[in-house]
This record gives sequence, structure tokens and C-alpha cells, in this order.
Amino acid sequence: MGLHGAGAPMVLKSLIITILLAITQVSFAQKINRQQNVAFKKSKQLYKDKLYQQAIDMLASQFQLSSSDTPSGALTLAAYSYEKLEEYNSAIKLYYALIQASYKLKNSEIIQSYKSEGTDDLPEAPDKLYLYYHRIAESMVNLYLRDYEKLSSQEKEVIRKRATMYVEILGESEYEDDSYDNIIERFEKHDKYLVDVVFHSSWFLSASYISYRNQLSIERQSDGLVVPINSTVDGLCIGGGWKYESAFWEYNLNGCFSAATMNVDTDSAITYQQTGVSSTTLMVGPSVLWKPKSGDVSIGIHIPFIYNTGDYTVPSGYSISNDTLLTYGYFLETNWKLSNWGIFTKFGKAAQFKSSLWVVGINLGL
Amino acid sequence: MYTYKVKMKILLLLSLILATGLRSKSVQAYPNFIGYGYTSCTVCHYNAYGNGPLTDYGRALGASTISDDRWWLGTRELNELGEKSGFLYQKHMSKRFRPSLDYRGLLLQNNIGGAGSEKEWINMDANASLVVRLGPESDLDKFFVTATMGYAPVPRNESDPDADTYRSREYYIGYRPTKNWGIYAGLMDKIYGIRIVNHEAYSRSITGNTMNDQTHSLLVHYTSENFDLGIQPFIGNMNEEDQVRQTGVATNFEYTVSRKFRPGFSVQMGESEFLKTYAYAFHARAGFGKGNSVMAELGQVQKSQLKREVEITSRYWMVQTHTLLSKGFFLLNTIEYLKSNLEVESKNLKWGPGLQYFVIQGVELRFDVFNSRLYNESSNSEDTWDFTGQVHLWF
Repeated sequence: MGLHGAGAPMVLKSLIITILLAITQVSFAQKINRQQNVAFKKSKQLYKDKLYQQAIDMLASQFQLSSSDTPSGALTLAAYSYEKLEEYNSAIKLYYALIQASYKLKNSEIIQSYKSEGTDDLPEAPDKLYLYYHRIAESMVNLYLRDYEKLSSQEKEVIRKRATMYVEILGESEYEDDSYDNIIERFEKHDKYLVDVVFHSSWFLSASYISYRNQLSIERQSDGLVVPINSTVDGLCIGGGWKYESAFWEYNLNGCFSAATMNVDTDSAITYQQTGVSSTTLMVGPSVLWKPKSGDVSIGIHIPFIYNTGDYTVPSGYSISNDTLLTYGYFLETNWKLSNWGIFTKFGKAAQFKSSLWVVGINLGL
Repeated sequence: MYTYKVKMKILLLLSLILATGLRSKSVQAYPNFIGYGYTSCTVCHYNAYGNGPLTDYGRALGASTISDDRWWLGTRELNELGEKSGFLYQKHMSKRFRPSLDYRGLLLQNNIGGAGSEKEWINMDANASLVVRLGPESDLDKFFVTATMGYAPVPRNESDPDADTYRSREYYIGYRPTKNWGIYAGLMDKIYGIRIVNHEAYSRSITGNTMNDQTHSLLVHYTSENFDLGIQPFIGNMNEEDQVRQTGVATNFEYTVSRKFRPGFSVQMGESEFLKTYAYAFHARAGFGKGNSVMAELGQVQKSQLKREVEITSRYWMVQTHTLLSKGFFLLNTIEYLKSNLEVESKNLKWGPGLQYFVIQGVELRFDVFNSRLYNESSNSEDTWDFTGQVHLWF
């Protein structure tokens, strides 16, 4: 999921800076034996070669990674490796161990202040502590997003609350790497995503312009001669429907009723011409629509049943076929939604109709 | 009814009031690119109302934002795509000169399945352009000269069988004294309605704004975050015969309701020895999500044949939608209506679903089907179906 990847370049930058800091520290801050020094150097190389599990194994062979007495460079490198392996719980534990080892009192002071007075008058802290806060918050949001389905609601609440706390503390500090800014945004994006994937239903009204051509024929009963009748119809189609949609898909049942007039004629052996013939159409059917950008535009198919009847005058000695029919159609449908109103088009073919059938209109959500 | 001269005066007065009464900052782009949030054309095109040579920003935008980048060899990195958006995919060789080449070819199959159906390849346009940027170092495009010259086919309606097959559709000087104001003088299109690409669209053909209808004119353009206003007195194309040259004025106003919704109106009045034309239209452009748009125009045109004292009023509307399916790839719908004479119960409708694909920077493919339908009181005719496949290259 794309949400996990946000802010990656800045994270990488901070990782590199911190590794450099840690590397210098591990050699001088605490006494380590030669084997440990060799193991640490090999681990750094393995990390650079993106062999994170091997880096951890190498460190674990010479250091107690569960102990806060272990040199901070080794713990930091292990924590970064766990982050890379997406073992966020392990990474978080190590960052807490690092805080306990070096900044126990300062951390306690900051957290107490935050809990009692929020972000007002927070004590200053070393950059390193801010860095651990940042890494913990980053690991927490990654854990939250990845394991959302597995985490209990209490765990989710705790993770989110703590990550938010660290981000707010960082927001009040002079800490320079501002990539922590998107952590809250990523929680919120995930919230929106969850709302979006949930289907919800609503009703809507529609008013549209419709155009079609009937396919009729007139038969002279005396000799059985049949010739086609041409007709072209356009008018308003009023209706509505019910839709069931998420951010990515929409299923709806919609229909409209049109009472229009048309001109009909023939262009062959039988002369038949009539103007102002009323034509009544009812179209009802389902649509399946895909939203390419999970947004306000959707595209799909509409397959309605179509009832059509025309009030043709039948001359004596003649009969007209298909003046009333029940058929179906298949259409390409596109929708554009803006707030609770939208524009839609349907273009396709109705069986037993001539040529194409067009609909363009607006709809209004209720 | 107002006389023609009175209408002209009212139009000029209205435009001046609008121009002086409102003020603001700068904006950007290209009709349906309002779907990307670009409301105005000036940042991407030297021509304040679009088409013609692209600015550096327009080229970079085309490469990085509009075109698909998956086929681009070498990089998908936006900055690098932008840098390679110059002439023939190179970095700009000179800061003062901006050459470009443009070609449009069309495969047309008309009346599919009907009598006389034919397939034909048409080289619609093949031209070379040069923009010379004469502005100061701090703003090279403040003052510029541009000219376009190239091949243009003889009009298919045979209105002018002796027409040259080489012509310039655009040459003008442009001066942008501030970021809001622009003054342009030379040969250019009239600033009427929404300038959609299809020059056969009713909204362009009935109003006299099709492929060879450029005019010598002076265009004064004001652009801001809130609105765009252009006033364009024109004297016709000086390469044409005196009698057919239309002189008059066109104006176009568009107001920003929101970053993705711009309604507007335009008026165009022109007169030659034989014909007087008065056209006006309301239009709107709206963006939906990212890259998607709906554009609509409703207009009316009065044409008076002065020698015969015949006046015909036509009405049209057009809706064009763009649905962005993936980067650079659009589904189009163009719905057009024309009642060519309001006094006659006859009208034409056209529905054109299509696909448009900006394959890479400088390569556009487009496929359209046009289903045309004629409504007539006295007779019914068959629908016609036409297909067009288009290649557009620009370097």
C-alpha cells in the first residue's frame, strides 16, 4: 500500500546521518573488545549491502541486543536493520532501550511535561533523543498501517496516541528533519481510506436529454409488402435511482421516463409520413461503474430494460410492427460528481432500435 | 434591436469596465487542463488563448504531468523529464530562441457502412515555429516575436480550391508589461468560446473560427487569479480579398468561481462587404478530481447576407468531457448540437466518443467515432458514422 512509502527519502537521510553519529560513538563512548569492533564493522558493511538480517545476526553474535548496556552504536544499527526488515516492534524496543540508556531522566521530564501541560513549555532535549522519538513514531505508523487488521482496538489507540505525542513534541522542538510531519497525515489518510472502502447507499434524481431511433416497419396487408419506417426521437427523460458505492466502485439501479414527440416517414414504395407522434420510453436497469482515481469520476456499463411505445396512426389496410416493444440495451456510462450533483452520459445500443441511443444529463443526490 | 455599431460600442464599454474594475494576481494553462487545476493558457502557451508554440513551462508540464512517462527511455524523474522537454528532446540550446515543429495527420473514414464510404489520410498541418524572446534577462518572455509557417491542405469543402498549400496561421509580437497584462499584434485566431482542438466542431465552424479563420488583430489580455479578459479588434486576414475580410471585435471573459470551475462568455462581431456576423456564447469549464474535466458552450450566431438582406440565426451547444483513465490516457465524449436556422424545424446532433493518449512528450494519438444524426420535420435520414485516427507530433 502506497501509504507506507511516504517520506522515505527524508527517512533515509536521517538514517544515514544517525548511522554516522552512531559509528563514531560506538568506538569511543564505550569500551568494546576487538572482536566486537570487527563484528560491528562487518555489520555496518552488511547493512550497506542491504543484508539487514545478517547485520542483526552479526551484531547479536557479539552484543546483547536486549540490554540497554550494549553500546548505542550497535543498538542503533540493529534498530535500523529491524526497521528495514519491517520488524517494527523490535525496532521500537531498541529505541526505547537507547532512550533508557542515555536519556532516561530527560525523557521522563519531557513526557511528564507533555502529559500535564501538553506542548506548552516543553523542556529542550538533545537532538539524539528527538531522533529516537522520530524513529519510534515512524515505526509506530508503519506498524499501525501494516497490521491494522491484526491489532486490537486498544493497541491501535495506544500506538496512535504515542506516535501523535512524539510528533507533537518534535513539532515544538528545533529538530531539523521535518519528515515526521507526514506521520499524522498518514494516519488520517488511512482513516479516509477505511471510510472510502466502506460501501454506502443513497438515492438520486436525474434529468436528461435522450435521443434514439425506432426501428419499425409498415405492412400493406393487400400484398404483404413490408417497408421500414424511419423515426428520430429526442426529448427529456426524468428519473432517478439508488446507488451503492465506495471510493472505487459504484453499483446503481437507475431509470428514467421520457414522453417525447417524433416525426416518422418512409422512403420507399409505401408513402407514410406523420409528424408530432408521441413516443413514450421507460428505461430501467443496473449500472456498474469503476472510479479510476478513487474519486469523483466513474466509468462503466449500464444494461437497462427498455419499454417503448409510439402512438402511430395506422392507415386502413396497413399494419405497423414493433410500435410497442420491450427490449434491452447496453451502454457505456460516464459520471462526473461535484458535491451532491453530477453530470452523466450514456452512449450505446438498444436492441430492436436503429443506430445508437444517447443520454446526457444531470443528477442530484438526495 | 440595437444596431451593429451600438452593439460594438456596448461590447467595448462592457469589456473596459470589466478590465478596469477588477484586479488580482497571476494564474496558469489549456481548455480541458482545468482538470489539472490550470485555469488559464498564458503560462503554457505564448498565445494568451492557447494553441501555437509552448513556453518552457508548457513543455515541461507536457513532459512531466500530461504525458505518460512509462515509455520514456532513461528516466521518469520529473525534473529530468522537464529538462529534456526542449526542441527535439534536448535541453534548450539558446535562451533567446525557441524553435518547434508540429505535425497533425488524420486517418478519416467517413460514412462507415454507408454509400460512398472512403478512407483517406489527411496531412492536416505540418509547420515550423520560432519564438524569439526579446525580454530582459529577468523575464525573457516579457517581449517576444513568434511566427509559424507550414503546410496546410486545401479546404475540403472546396470553398477555395486555389488556396496555397503553404501558409502561416500565426505570427505576432507579444508584450507582457506585467504578469497580468499582455498585448499581442499580428495574425492569430479569434478569442471566441472554448478553443477545442476539433476545428470541425459546430461551435467553431458555425462561428467562423475554424482552421483557416485567423485574422490580423490586436489582442489585449488581462489575466488574474479571479478572471481572464481579452478584447480583440480585428481587420481580417490581410492575405485574403478585401471583400471577404471580416473586420470587427471579439471578446472573451472567464471568471474563476473556484480553482476548478470557470464560467464565462464571449462575443464576436464582424462585418465584410457581403456578410455581417454576430455571435455570442456562454461557456463553462469544470475540473473533477485530477485530470478529469467537463466543458460546455452554448451559443447563438446571427449571419446577415448584406447584398441579399437575408438573416439567419443559428444556435448550438457543445459538451466535451475528458476522463483520465491513467496518466496521459483519456476517454473523451463530445456531444454537439446545431440548429442552423432557428426558423426551420431541423437540427443536427453529433456524439463523438474517443480516446486520447499522450504516449510520451511530443506524441499524441487520438481515435474518435462520430455518430451524426439529423432531425428534420419533413424527412428522416440515416445516421452517419465516421471514424478518425489522429497522430499529433510536436518537437
